[in-house]
Parts: sequence; structure tokens; C-alpha cells
Amino acid sequence: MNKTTFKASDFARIERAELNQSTLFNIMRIENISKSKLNQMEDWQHYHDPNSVSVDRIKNSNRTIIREIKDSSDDNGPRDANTNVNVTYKLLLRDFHNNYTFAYEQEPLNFLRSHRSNATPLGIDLGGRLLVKQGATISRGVIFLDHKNCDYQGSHPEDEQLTRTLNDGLVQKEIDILKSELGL
Amino acid sequence: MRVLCVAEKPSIARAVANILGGGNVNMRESNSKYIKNYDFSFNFAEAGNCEVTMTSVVGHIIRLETKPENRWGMCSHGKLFDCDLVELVDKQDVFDNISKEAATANKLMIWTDCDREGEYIGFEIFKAANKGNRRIQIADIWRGKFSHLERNHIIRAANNPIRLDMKSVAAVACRMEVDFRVGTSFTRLLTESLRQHNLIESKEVASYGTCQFPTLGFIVDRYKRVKSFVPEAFWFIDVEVMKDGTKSGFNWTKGHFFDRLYVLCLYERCLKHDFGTIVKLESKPTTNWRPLPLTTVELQKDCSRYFKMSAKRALDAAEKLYNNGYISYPRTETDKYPPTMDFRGIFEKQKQDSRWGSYANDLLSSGHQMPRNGSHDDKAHPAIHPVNYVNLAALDNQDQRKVYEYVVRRFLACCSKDAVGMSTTATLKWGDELFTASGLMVLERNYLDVFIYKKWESSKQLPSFTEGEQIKISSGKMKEGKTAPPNHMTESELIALMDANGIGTDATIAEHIEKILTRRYIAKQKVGKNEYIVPSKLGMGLIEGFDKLEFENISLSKPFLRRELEKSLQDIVNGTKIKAEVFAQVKEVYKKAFAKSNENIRVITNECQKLMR
Repeated sequence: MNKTTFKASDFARIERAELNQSTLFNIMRIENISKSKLNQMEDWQHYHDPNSVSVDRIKNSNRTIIREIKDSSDDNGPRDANTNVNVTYKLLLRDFHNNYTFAYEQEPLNFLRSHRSNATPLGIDLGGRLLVKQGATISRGVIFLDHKNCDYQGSHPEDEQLTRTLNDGLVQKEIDILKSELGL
Repeated sequence: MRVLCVAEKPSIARAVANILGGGNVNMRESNSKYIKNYDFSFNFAEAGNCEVTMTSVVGHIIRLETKPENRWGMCSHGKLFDCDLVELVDKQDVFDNISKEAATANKLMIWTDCDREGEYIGFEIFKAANKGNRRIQIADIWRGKFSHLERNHIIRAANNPIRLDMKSVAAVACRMEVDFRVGTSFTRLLTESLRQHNLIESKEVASYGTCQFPTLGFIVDRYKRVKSFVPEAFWFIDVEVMKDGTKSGFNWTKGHFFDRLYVLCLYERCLKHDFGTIVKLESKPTTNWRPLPLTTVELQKDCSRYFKMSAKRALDAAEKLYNNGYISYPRTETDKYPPTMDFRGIFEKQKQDSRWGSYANDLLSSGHQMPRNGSHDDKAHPAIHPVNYVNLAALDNQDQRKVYEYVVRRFLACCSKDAVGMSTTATLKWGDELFTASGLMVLERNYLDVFIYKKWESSKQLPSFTEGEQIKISSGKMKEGKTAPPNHMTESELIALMDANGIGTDATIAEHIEKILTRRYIAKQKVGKNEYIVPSKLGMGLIEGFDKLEFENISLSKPFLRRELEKSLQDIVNGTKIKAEVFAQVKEVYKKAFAKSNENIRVITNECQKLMR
């Protein structure tokens, strides 16, 4: 159902178009485009090894450390990176025919800030399903998401393999990606 | 009845004796050239008229030491975690003076500074007194609770003695033992290894301290952040409109993004529109808050920021001013004043000054504000404030003048009205995007008139927009910017970091910075008007080395471990933990870390060699 095809390249030169049929995607990666890569890397490092994080900034001084994060019943409150509504996320989506596209938040989406996962700076696990509805705005091949035009469905049992692949060792993978993007 | 009073410093003994003795004080020399004994009589509320001898110590008089068989070179370094320690009298003449004076006394009254350390020094004083007079017992000791040397305050303290707080004593004892055992073992290890590899001179010491290293760690982290910085591009939309012949720039409410395509898409949508609309025009009063009552850390930060004065110099100057009775006790975490504070009395004393006197006078005649209350209270001392007036010209040096003036101005500012302005913000909608421009008009300067260190000025005024007005976009551009590298650490930042992370206390922060400076782990570097702190190669090497050793869940160069210790010490003070339990726990952690460091000391010396070659 809705496992239709979406080819971003079809829209690359079009300033504005609409999605002509509802399409189901898996969320492959989430990136915070309000933060520099250096700062994002620091966020990830907190989850990798809190003892390795630079402590030369006041905002880092009272952060929770991993021991508290492991305890899922521990309600220490979410970290600021997740709660900040001023943050904008960029998602890498994949349809069920192996086509990739980027999607941006047009407005802050609640599901990305729901903290279903607390093992990473992201609010959710990767691999969950996102239904983007017919009529969603497409600019230059990227989708702009708002509350009305998409529906987050979470992880689906059929995608178990994908979900595991994406989330296992995610912290280290993200650090490696950001490092190489920065040329470090 | 004869009462022996003992203060923490000679200057406090003299000042308290003069107040209690009412000018009728007889001074005797002691065997120590620093210590004087003052005899007088005083009518205590609890004991009636008494003969009093007031004397002092000079800081701690007892220190921890290893037994001879565990001296440097006599035992393995790791043994220092478990070997017996002895308490040695550090200043024999001072100690003996107390024992001798106590011999004929019926009562001991402690006048050390009212903080944790002062409580412990009080306990050392008790030991000296008890040696000379076995009848003097802990439970009978009076303890004067005071925070400045104003006459009525001291007399009240004399008449309302409290007890020595043995929980604070236990906390300090715990801290001292941890610091001693960890410090000596690591210091011996580091010093010998670095000397062996000629990384330090044969007479130099490479010390390790549970506060020194996290302090160094902050500086190294910042240094590395600066060095490893990679500039990154970001994009934003910038708008200008013309109105009444003036150009006004508007800022995008979304700020900027590290993604060109995203901004480009939004920008393209805006470009469809030649006109924007002023959707909101808002003028509202804004307040520039008067400062909070002054804490030690704030004093040090501001002295560093405004006068380029190191934390140590600032605290030294403040101590001098306190010892001479000009300001209240300068080591405090409290940012509020007690409700009983006599504000008018202080204004009264300050009104004679040629610089701020008329301002103080205005507060007297037109009334003052109650200071804002901060949320910190160390339950020992109020926020720092002026006590007695002194003309700046009469002070010893420039540092004291600057600090005194600052304390007075800050105090007067605390008691003043906030500064008030009117800020106007216009919101422009261009396409789907929102942009704002604002202007500030300062209407009443109030506290800023006396608190001359802070600037708050009117900005360029906005043209007279009207709500709903359609306005042509004269320039709408998508612009690119680049992130800028951070600066190296300043001393005021370092103090703030140490404070926020519980590294050292208001009283010792300055000492730790000074210590790693004399160890040549760090250096101060002047760039233009600013002074920055950078690690030396040795300092860098030590931190890199310790970070390379993979400890289990801890780090010797980060503040977390020390912060936990501080928290446990507070638990001892609060009575929720006992010393033995805390000590055993902390010792185990450091002992393990020591074993690992000892085994892998080559890793540390290698790192130092790599950098220092």
C-alpha cells in the first residue's frame, strides 16, 4: 500500500511541484541543519563517551552522562538538542523501490521530537516509516514536510532488518560520517 | 572566667579585639613573630564579664604527612593510598602559643572564617588548645558566626555563639586525605618519570592535583577546539527596505542554516514577491536588570573582564579590604542579602565619596530598591558588600582601589532601579518568511549611572512603519557566511567553568589556576587587548597522555570525578553520608586509576616527548 515510486531527479529542475500520489518512505538518516557539523559531532560524542567530550563550554558542564541515559525509567528530561523547536531537520528518505530523496521540515514536526529513542541525539530510531501524502510540496527535488502532509508510522516489523542495520552502532557511524565530511 | 578567642588571621584577631575591647586592649608578643595576643575584658551575654585573650593562627596549623618509612624514595608510590598518615604540627610556634594561652582559659571561642575550611581550622585550634588544657572539650567550644568586621555585627556574634560544625570538619578531613593521597602518589610518579626522560629539570616537580588537572583539562580542550576548528559555510536571507529615505536592514527570524539547498528553496519562494508587508509593529518597554548581589566568582569574573586582573589578584585585594574592615567576607557563594541588612547605614557611610557619594545620597533621599535575590545561599555569608568607607587614595594599591570601587558601585547598583528602555520591533513578511528589525531607546539609565562598567545604549531608530504597510523590498539577498573559530580560554571563562563544574571553591579557584601556571602547564598569552590562557607543551602532553590511558568510565583530566567528590562532601556536611564511606569509595576509584597510570606511564611520557621535542 502506497509503496509507490518517487524519483527526486524527475523534479530536480522544477521550482515547485506537488506530490501526485501518497508515497511511503523509510527514514534513513536525520540531520540537524541548524547546527554546524562540528557541533553535531559534539552532540554525538556525548553518547559515544561522555568522558571524551570537550568540557570547555558552560553549556556542556551540566549535561547528563551516559550512565543516566541507559536507565530508561530515569526521567532526567530530554537534552536540549531535541527539545529545541528552533532546530530544523533534514531527512534522507527511501521509497520502497530504492529511490532516495531528501525532505526538509517546513515546520517543526512533533514526531521528530518525541524522544522514543534516547540512545542518540535523535528523537526517534532510524528506519521508521513515513507516509508523505499526495499534494505535499516539492521544490528542486526535495520534499517539504508539514504536519498535514505526512504521517509517521514508526518502525514496521517487516523492516526489522533495515532498522537494525541503520541503528546498530549509529553513534560511531555518525561521528565517522561527520568527521569525514569535515575532513578531520 | 577567662575566654581564649582564636581567629584565622592576625588582622582579624586585631580587629575583633579592638571592637570587643572597646579600645581598652593590651597587646602581648607571642613566640611567633606574626602572632600577637590581645588582652581585654568583655561582657558576654552567656557568661558575664570575662577576661579575654584574643589571638590567631595563620591558616592551617596541622598538616598530613607520611611516616618516615613512606617518604619519597622509601616506598612504592602506590602504597600512599593505604599507608598510615600522621598529623604534623605545621607551625609549631603558633600551635604552642595556643596551647600555652589555653592552659589558663576556661573557654575556647573560635573566630575562624565561617566556611568549611574555617570550621576545620577551628578543629585544629581545638587540638592545640586541648593539648594545653584537657578540660577544654569540643562540646563546650563557642564559635563566633560572623561575616564582616562591622562593630555591631561582631558584638552580636560574641553574644550569640554557636557550636563548631563537626560535619563540615569531617568533610574537609575527607577532602584533605583524598587530595593528599592522590596528590602525593601521582606527583611522585609523574615527577620521577618526567625527570627520567629529561622532560622537566631535575629539581622541578610535576604535580598532580584532583583540581589542577581538570583545570588544565578545560584549557587543553579549548586549545584543541581552536586548533581543530574547521570553518563551515551557512546561508541566510538578508532583506533591506527603504523608508523615508533611510535604509533599514531586517534579519531573518529563522537565523541561518548549514544547508544551501534548503535556504535556496525558501529564498526562491520569496523572490516571487516584490513587496513585503509590515505584519507587526510592537513597541514595548524593556528592562536592563540591575546586577545580582555579588559572589566571589562574579567578583573574579568581572575583575578579569573589566580590569584584566587575575582571579588571584582580585581575591588577594578583596581579602586585604576585608581584613581592614572595608568590605564583608569576600569568599561567598551567596547572591542575596539577609532581610536584616542595614542598607541605609551603608549608603550613609558612602555618601562622603566624591565619585559615588551623591548617588548614595540620592538613594538615601529618594529611597532605594530591595536588591534582587539570587538563588544561591551558602548559609555562611551574605553577598559581598561594602562595610566601612575608605577613600580610594588611602588604599595601598591600584588593585585594592579597583576592587573596592567595584564592590561599592555594584552594591549601590543592586539597590537601584533597573534601567528602562523602549524597544520597537517591526516584523516584515516577505513571501512566507518573516524578518525583524528593532530599535532601542534608553529612557532611564538608573543603576547604569553608578555601575559604570556596563554599557547599554540607544541604537539607530527605526523609520515610522505602520502595521499592514506594503513596502517594496529594495534588496533581498541570499547570503553566505562562515563559522568563526572560537577564542582561546580567558581567565574569566575558566573561572566560570570551574565554578559550574565544582572544581575548587570560590576560595581556591584562584589558587588552582596559579598552581598550574607555576608548574608551567599553562601560559598566559596576550593578543591585542585580551589575555588568553593556553596550555604549554608539557601541559598538553600530560592531558593527552592521561586521555590515552583507557580508564574504566572515568577521566582524570575531566571535571566529572572531582564534581562527584564535591557532591559527596556536601552530603557529609548535610549528614546524609559519612566520611568513611565517601573516602573508601573515592579512594578505590583513584587507586585503580593510579595502578593503570603506573603501569602505562610510558604512554604519558611518550605523549610529552612527542610534543616537547
